[in-house]
Amino acid sequence: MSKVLTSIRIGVVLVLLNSNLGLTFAQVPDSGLVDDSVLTTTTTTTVVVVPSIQGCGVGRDGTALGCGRDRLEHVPATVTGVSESGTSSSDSSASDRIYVAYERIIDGGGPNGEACTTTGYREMPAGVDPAVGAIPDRDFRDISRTYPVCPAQPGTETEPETAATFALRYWQ
Amino acid sequence: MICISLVGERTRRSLAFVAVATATALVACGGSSEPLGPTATVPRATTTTNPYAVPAVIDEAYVNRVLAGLDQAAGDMLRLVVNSRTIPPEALDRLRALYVGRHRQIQLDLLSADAAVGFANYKRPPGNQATAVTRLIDAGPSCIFAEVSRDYSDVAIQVSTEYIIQWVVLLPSDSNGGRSTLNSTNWVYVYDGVEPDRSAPENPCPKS
Repeated sequence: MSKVLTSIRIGVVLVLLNSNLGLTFAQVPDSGLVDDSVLTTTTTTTVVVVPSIQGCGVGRDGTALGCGRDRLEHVPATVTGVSESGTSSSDSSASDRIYVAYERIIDGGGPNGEACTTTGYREMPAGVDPAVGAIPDRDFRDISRTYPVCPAQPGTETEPETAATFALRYWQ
Repeated sequence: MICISLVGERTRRSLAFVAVATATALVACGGSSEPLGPTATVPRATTTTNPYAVPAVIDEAYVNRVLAGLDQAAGDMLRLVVNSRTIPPEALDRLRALYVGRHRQIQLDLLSADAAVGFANYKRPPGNQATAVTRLIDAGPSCIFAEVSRDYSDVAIQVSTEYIIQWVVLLPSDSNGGRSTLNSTNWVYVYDGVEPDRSAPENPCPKS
């Protein structure tokens, strides 16, 4: 039996992003090939309500906390495992924190919606080597070769931010 | 056996040989009644069930199955990053298939920061995190909200106990542009973590 595939725009998936201040509507057109032997003329509109969501995420190894800003927190955890180098992390006060810069990928931050990079900072207790336990394959610093640098936002400084300027801005 | 005892030694040996040969043949054939000669191939009917098909009643077992599928997909993404020593566009695609909304960028931030230090605290290769429901708070076909426990022992060298208890909110894949081949479950994370003060988030699922 020959099947005739017809491209049918099924409908529009409305994703309702309920922010704290109101509703934002994002239209996601969903088109594709549909077997017309099983699908009669159908227009489906799926409404998915995405509730107001805040919160923080935990790093994939459980030792960092990110809350949607350009600053990540080192988790001041009780370490139950044993480091390969025999050291461990400990809690610290705000006065002895350091900031380790990283290339922060912004999904959709480019002018055409592509991913781009900017600078983020991971807060660490002073004295803790962020690369503790590292094995010698640390060549992960080429992310900016894959993604372009994010365009400067209007009204923001054009000079690249340093850890010192970030810390100053953060604690102000 | 009585008959064997009544026949001569030579006959007894012959009968014993036949018995052993018959038994050997049966073992070789596995006791099967399938014909040994050439036959037409008849395909066996196979029943494929989608383990992530949304049941009429979403229970803890189903949510655990979904979470295991998401842990596997997240682990695949992580191994891709660690093996390629960068965060390639394919890893971004995999992350997009797992997360929708704000927590996608949060996870990307965390991944980028760990990449900057060479995934120092990660096993080589990293395994999957293990997530299990500790309290199913709300579950319906349009939203799942659960308190979970998360075990990083297959991922991390130093395992933190700080965030064993977390919360997840899952939405149908429709909210993320449809089901993806990079995420075989029917669900995506819209919340995956904790509140800043580590308290439980309010139930974000719409009341049905």
